[in-house]
Amino acid sequence: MTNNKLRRAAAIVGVGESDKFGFDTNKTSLMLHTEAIISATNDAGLDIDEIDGLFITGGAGRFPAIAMAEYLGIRPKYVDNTYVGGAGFIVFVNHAVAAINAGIIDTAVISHGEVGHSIRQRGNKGTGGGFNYDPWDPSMQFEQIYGLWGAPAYYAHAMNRYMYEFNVSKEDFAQIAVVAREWATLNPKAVMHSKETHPFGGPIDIKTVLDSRPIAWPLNLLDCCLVTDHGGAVVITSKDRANDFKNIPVWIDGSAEAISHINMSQMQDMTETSAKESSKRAYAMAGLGPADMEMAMLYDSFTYTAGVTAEMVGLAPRGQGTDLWKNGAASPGGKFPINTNGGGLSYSHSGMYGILLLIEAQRQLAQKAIGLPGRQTNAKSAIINGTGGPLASTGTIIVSVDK
Amino acid sequence: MPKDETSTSNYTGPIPDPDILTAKEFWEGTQNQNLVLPKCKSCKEFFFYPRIICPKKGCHKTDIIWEVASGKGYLYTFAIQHVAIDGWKEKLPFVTAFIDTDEKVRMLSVLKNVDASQPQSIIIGSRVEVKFEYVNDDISIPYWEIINDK
Ligand SMILES: [Zn+2]
Repeated sequence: MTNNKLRRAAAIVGVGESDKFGFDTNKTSLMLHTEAIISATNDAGLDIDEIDGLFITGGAGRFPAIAMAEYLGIRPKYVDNTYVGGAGFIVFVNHAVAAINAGIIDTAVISHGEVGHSIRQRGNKGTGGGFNYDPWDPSMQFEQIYGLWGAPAYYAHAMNRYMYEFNVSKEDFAQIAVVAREWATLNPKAVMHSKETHPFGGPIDIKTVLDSRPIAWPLNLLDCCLVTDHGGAVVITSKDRANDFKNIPVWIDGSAEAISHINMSQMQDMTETSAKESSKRAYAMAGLGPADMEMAMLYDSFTYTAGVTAEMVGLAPRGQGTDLWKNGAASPGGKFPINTNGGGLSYSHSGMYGILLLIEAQRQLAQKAIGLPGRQTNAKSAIINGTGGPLASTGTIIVSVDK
Repeated sequence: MPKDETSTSNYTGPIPDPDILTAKEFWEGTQNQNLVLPKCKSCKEFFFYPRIICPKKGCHKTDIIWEVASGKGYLYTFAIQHVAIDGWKEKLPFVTAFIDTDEKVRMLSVLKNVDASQPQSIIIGSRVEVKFEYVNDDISIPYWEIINDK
C-alpha cells in the first residue's frame, strides 16, 4: 500500500524540552508538558494560540489532550489521546500528517510530560487520574498474578527466545548500551553524561553492563532504560506553512503505525515486532528504503528493543541487528549513527520515550545538536521507530531535509 | 479433587478474581487439576485467553466450547525474575515462562523446580507439564514443570 500523496504533506518545524529533566526535577507532569510546549513553540516561532491540533497520550490525567488544552488556555479544534505506550508520539506524527493533509488543521503540537522518577518518590497516592482496572481483565487474571514487575519482566522473555533462535549473546546486546553511553558522553544534557551528571555516568564497557545487577534475566540494569522526569514537545505544520517558521523544515517523508498484541501471550513470534509492518508502510509512502537512511533513532527501552528493531526496519538481516553497533559503526564518527542523544538508556526516559526520538532526529537533521565535538552528525535523512507496551505497538517515521 | 492433601496453602501472590462470565470453566477446571481451554466450535482451534469470539483470522465466530487439554506443552521461552510485585518478592529469584501447549495456545506461567541461578540449565523447547497450586477452595493456580517426555 503506497500513499505517496502524504509524502512531505507536513514537516517538523520546532522541538523543545522541559527546562529541567532527569531525576528530582521538582516538577509536576503538567509543568513538564507546559515547559516543553513553550520551548517548542518558541523554537518554531509559533504563537501558543495558533496550535490547532493537540496530541497528548499521558501525564495529564485521564483526559490528557483536553486537560492540557485547558491548562494552557487554548481550544484546539482537533485532539488525539491515542494510547499505545511509548510509540504513541511516533504514531501521533502519522495522525497529524493525516489531519493536516485532510485540511482539518494547520499546525499540530505533540507533547509529553511525565514524572517517571518523581512518582516513585511521591508515591502514587490519591486519585491522580489513574485508570480503574477491571480485575476480570485477561491481563490481571492470567498474567499479572505471576508476579511480573513492569516492562523488563516481559521483555526478558522475548530477548531470551531471540538469543536462543539466533545464537546472539548478552554481550552482543550489552554493546548497544555501551554505544548509547558513548553518545551520552558527548551530550552534556544526557542524564548519564558524566560523573558530574550522575554518580554512575560517563563511559562504560560491556563488562559494566554484564556486572550490573540482574533485573529479569537476561536483562541487567544497564540493559534497561532510565526512569526519569521529562517533558518534550514537537511542532508539525503543513507543507504550505513549513517555510514560515524559524527552523528549516524536517520533512515527514513517510509515516505509519502497526500493532500486534497487548497481552504478551498473544505475540506469536517474540523475535519479531510490528515495526516490520510499520516500516514497510513508511518506506512505501516515502518512496525510500533502508539504504537511503543516514541515521536511525530506534526506541531503546531495552538493548533488546533496539537490536530487534534494527532488523525489523530493514537495517540489518535477521539475527544480525546487534552487529550494527559493533566496531564503532553506530558510534560517534561511525558510518551509521544510531541513538545520537544517548538513547533511553543514557539520555533520558520518563516511561514513554517516543517524543525524544523525534526531538533528537530534528536536531540532527536541522544541524542543531549541541554538545561536544562529534555529537552533530551530517545526516540528511533518518528513520525513527518507536515501540510501545510489551513490544505491542510501533510507529515508523522517515524524515529528511533538503540537501 | 480431595482437599485433604492440599488444604493449606503457601501461596502469597495476588489471588485472581475469576471472570465468571468468560473464564468460569477455566477456573473450575483448575480446582479439579485440569487445564480446561476454550475452543472454537467452527474452526476447531483452541485459543487462550478465554473470550466470547474466536480470534483466528478468517473465523471470528462466537460459538465457543470448552475441552480438557492435555496439560502438556513445550517451553517457548523463560525469564528469571529478580524483581517482583508484592507477594512474590520472597520467592525471588523465580522463573516465569511462556508455554506453548499441545493444543497450540500460549500461556504465561511460572516454571517450578528449576535452578533459577543457572539459566543455562533451563532448555527452551523442553517438554513441560501443568501442575496446580492450591490457593483456597475456589482457586488453584496453574504452574508448569519440565518433564522427561518426547
Ligand atoms: Zn474459529
